[in-house]
Amino acid sequence: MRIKGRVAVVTGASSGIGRATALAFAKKGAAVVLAARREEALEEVAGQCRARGGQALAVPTDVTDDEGVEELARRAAAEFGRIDVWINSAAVTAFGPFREMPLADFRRVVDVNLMGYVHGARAALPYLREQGEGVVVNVSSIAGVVAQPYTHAYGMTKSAIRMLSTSLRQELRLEGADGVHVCSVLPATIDTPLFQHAANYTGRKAQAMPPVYIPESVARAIVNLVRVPRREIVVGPGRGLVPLAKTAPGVTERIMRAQVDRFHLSRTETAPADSGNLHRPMPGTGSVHGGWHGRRRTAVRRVAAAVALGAVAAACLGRSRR
Amino acid sequence: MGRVRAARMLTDFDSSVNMVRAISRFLRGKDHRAMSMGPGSPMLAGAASAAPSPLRRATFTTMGRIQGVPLNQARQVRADELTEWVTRQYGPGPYPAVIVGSASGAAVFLAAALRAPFLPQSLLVALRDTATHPDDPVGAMHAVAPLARMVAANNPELAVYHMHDPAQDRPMLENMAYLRLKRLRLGPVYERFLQQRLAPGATVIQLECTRDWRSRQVGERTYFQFGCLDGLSEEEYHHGGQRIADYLARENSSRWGWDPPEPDGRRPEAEWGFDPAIAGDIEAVAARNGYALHRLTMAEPQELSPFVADLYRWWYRDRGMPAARLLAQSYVQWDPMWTLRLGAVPFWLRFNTRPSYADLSRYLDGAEPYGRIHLNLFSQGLWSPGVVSIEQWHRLITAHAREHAQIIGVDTGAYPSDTGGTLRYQPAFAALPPRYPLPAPLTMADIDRFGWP
Ligand SMILES: NC(=O)c1ccc[n+]([C@@H]2O[C@H](COP(=O)([O-])OP(=O)(O)OC[C@H]3O[C@@H](n4cnc5c(N)ncnc54)[C@H](OP(=O)(O)O)[C@@H]3O)[C@@H](O)[C@H]2O)c1
Repeated sequence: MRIKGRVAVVTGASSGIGRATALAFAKKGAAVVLAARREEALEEVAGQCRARGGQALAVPTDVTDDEGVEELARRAAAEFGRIDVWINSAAVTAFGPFREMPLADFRRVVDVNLMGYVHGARAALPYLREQGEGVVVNVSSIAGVVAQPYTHAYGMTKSAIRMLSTSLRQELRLEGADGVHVCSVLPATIDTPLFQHAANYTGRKAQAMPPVYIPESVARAIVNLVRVPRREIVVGPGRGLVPLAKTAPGVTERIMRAQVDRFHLSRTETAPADSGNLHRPMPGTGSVHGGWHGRRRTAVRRVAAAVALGAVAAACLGRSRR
Repeated sequence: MGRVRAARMLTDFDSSVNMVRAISRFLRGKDHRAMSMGPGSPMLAGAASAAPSPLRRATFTTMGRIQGVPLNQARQVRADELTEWVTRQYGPGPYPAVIVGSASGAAVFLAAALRAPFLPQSLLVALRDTATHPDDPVGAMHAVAPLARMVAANNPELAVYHMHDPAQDRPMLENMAYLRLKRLRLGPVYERFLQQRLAPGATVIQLECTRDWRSRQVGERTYFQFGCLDGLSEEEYHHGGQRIADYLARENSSRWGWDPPEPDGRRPEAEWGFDPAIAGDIEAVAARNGYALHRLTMAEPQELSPFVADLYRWWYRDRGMPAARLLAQSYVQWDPMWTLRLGAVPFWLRFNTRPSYADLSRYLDGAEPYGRIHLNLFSQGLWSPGVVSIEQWHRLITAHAREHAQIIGVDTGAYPSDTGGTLRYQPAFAALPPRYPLPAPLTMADIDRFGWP
């Protein structure tokens, strides 16, 4: 599908991957409809989209509100006449030992990440089906394949999202809606403010687990995915983990366990118990990047991480053989 | 595994750890040079203290970083492994007595005289923490609380005190958070020790420091204590004042004062205070094994200092020795072996600050004058509020010594950032004349005769 002149709705457009994706679509000449909770942030993004030559509409939305999401679709269609692309990217995450995680936070992660995507798909698909073509992009995560300790709710939702995509694809084919695609995107660690936004009950500061990849690359991958839809793509370094999880699940489990404990949670910086942006958005107008040095150090980190992963894998293999 | 881990988790400058190290080494005929961490060396000490002052300050801060346990290891803290470290320091016994409970430098000398091991109720585990600002106690409390709660949850026999003192502990605090772990139960490791390593009819001395402090509960058996026994009063910690404003300005802090969390009660002071929750277990073990239980209560950890000094003096004289030399030792720079070999009367100072100065001054005012007074002072790396200058200390001991007064083992120009001080105190003690053989131990009956405080 050619991007120019298309209409794309992006949830989570105030920050990180969603924001980068909205900007990328605008740059290719699409009209973008921006959804997230923070109105001011969305207006800022809308301005940036227009500056890149696209049309833009900001629609403050809480994705856990099904009617609100329906309304988002209606506003998009009313403003631009159609919906070609729907990108579900709005998500939250929470770190914490299972017993320490407040149930309300656990539930909220499931609500935003999973039900939010369900609401998005329910709102978008009628338009896409009626037009006979269109793409729903569900941003999942490598963490949906390779589990991590301390982020149970997040991992569960990211895994469930892949199921949702697959199931919808099957249904659409059965019903003959051949022009409508549902795709999953599984990014590795991306330099976004996600980790500053996270709820955290570990007592340790959450940080992007290297190697860190830039959000613009995920945005580019999503643009390409809309051009030529595929079932599922993995973006960023650490791609090797997805096949590894299939061929050597035990080793992968050990690698991730150690990696998260050593690199995802700080060993030197403490953090107060906090529910992050789960129930209330962060102040400010948001940003694409999280300051985890994605761009400059990606290459260096990729090499370092490959070496580290290799070493850990070797150690784990050694241990499991003994 | 547990062994190495426990040793790594304990903190080398903790008062309890130093009591255990000094006493256990004394019982094996060894001194407490360099806080039992390595060789004492005036040459190395000289090199360390010759560095420019910012570098010396940085040394203290770096020490803090090295001593802190990485946060991902906090979940491995096990009270029993720590107490096993304690009991492993001692030989098989059988010991005629044991001291259990609060830390106190004066008790080091009491234990040495009795040849009694010491089992601390409180131990320090410091977590590496570079995120919290020393002058933001509320922030520190919230930031460390999840981990402190986790340690408490993993160890039902402990009360966990997150102690935050931006005055005297400041250089350390820049890189670490202090968790003081207080045993509420004696536990199997100490119980076994008492059962197996004491002589029949031995005495268990329960050392109880009743000092409490304002604190705030942050979880089950988890508390936050702001400030500690130091050069500042508890009141100043909580309500500020000019001295603190000046101090923060001197330290170039971005804060103008402390705004500590509202306390919700008084509890045993984290480092020195005794929690009576453990008393029932001690009593039961003593009764079960036919040991005598002797309770020794003090309102402040240094309250025993005059008693122990006078006891030593009496003991030396009983052995026909002159007992005219006072050796004042501060914080954890103590050495029971050299004290005895010199025939010196020990006087323990909790620190180098005004309350300790007042204690020594009061003691010297009331005591029969000493011929020679030697004083060694611990360095904490900065002029925290209430630190007493070398000149003042010197004036004090000079005014009271009949023949000679000297500050020993301290680079007086570098104090209180005398980085090499730790390496220097024991060689300084050892350089003093004369030498006596180690005496036979005192017995409980001897102390009964002298009179308990
Ligand atoms: N960063 C990574 O390393 C990484 C890796 C793999 C996958 N991902 C996935 O990438 C997607 C985007 O994440 P990100 O890294 O860009 O995180 P982010 O910067 O935190 O962005 C999350 C977005 O979701 C929005 N949002 C949160 N709760 C919402 C709600 N209830 N209703 C509407 N919008 C809500 C936020 O905006 P408001 O606060 O304004 O509502 C924000 O725009 C997520 O699906 C995430 O799982 C990220």
